[in-house]
Amino acid sequence: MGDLGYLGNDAALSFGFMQFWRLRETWLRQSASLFGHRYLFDRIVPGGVACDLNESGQVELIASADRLEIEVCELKAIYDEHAGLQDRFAHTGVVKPAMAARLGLTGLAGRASAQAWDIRAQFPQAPYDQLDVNMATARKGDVLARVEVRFAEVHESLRLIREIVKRLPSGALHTPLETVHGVCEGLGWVAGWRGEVLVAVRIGAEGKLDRVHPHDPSWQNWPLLEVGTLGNIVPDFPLINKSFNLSYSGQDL
Amino acid sequence: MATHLILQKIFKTGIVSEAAPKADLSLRTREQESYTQNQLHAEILKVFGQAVSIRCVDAGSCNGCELEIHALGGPHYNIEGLGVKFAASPRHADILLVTGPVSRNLEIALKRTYDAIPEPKWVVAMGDCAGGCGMAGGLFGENYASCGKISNVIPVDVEVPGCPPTPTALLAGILAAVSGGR
Repeated sequence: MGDLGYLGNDAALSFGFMQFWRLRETWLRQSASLFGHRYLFDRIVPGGVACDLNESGQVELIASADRLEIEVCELKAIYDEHAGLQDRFAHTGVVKPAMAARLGLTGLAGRASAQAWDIRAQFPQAPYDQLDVNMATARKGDVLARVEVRFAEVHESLRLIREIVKRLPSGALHTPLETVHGVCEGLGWVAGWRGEVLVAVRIGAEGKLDRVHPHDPSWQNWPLLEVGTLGNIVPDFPLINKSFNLSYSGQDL
Repeated sequence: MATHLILQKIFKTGIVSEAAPKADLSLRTREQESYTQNQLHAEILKVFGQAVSIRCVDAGSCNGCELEIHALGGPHYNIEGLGVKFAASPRHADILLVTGPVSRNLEIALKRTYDAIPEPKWVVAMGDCAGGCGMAGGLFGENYASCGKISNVIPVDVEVPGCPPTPTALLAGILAAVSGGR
């Protein structure tokens, strides 16, 4: 929601910004009311989750998802009809598929440049193994392609939310973890919207962290943003930047 | 035609802006000397009220606080309607809004930004990282990577706790920095 709003704003359609950030704020407030935190910080804990979603919460979540989908469709119709906006988005910040493949562009931006990678679909871990995630892709690799992929992913994400709520299993919220004995290693690998997030951990003989390697997908994506800006006019830089929406702090990891 | 769709949507949506929160004076951490001694600053505040320019500096945050700062620009909070705006340069700013524990790499940049802001100025430290989270040494400690908290580096006028603080809490903190009441 945030990206779609900002992309409108940077092309001087502040109507788009206000509408999408209204939807975003409503969703965040609902996350706070259902799960206790606007951004779900600390809701996922080692061994499981920290809070439950009861029946009325599930009904509320689905109702919000339905309302959001209708609004996003209305706003997409406006974005599609707005000639000035489309003119700014199309052919701006192009990253060709060959360059994207060469430098390893991942995530949403990668999928908009024909890099069809989404570990939710290709290496699905629970619950994605039951959900048959649809990958949204485009070939053009411009800002418009990244906008189209975002809209498609909104619909897919809402579909996934409905499916997950339908299949919520009962039982304990998290399993207790055993103490680690001796040297061991572990790998965490999940899909973020910028690409795959990988954290590798090694625990030493005294049960303390021996090695940690966090890999943020923005680390290898930033050079592609540089490539995308070449040859574009200066006012298009914020558009290109926000169409990628890479992490500033993740880069530093 | 996009225009008529846009107008339709605007009328359908209506106005969602909410009333601004009251300044939360309990978040203040220090009184500036010039405040109580210099009548001129009190006069300035009476005239300019809450219409301040804010310069944001990310001193090593996870950007969660930044998301909430951006949320203030949305229609629910309508910060521009209150007269508050964000500045592109510390030279244009009245308030310095800092997030993060101050990573060592950004220590000098933060000090220079603070020095570049002309008086009268206020510093708002946003978030648990910035305020130290009530822990000795701060959330990330004072070590090779982090300075601990903002007040270890520059004088801070308001600390807004939270991880991240909600936009309402942040707004109450910003208003606390500049409100005339002491």
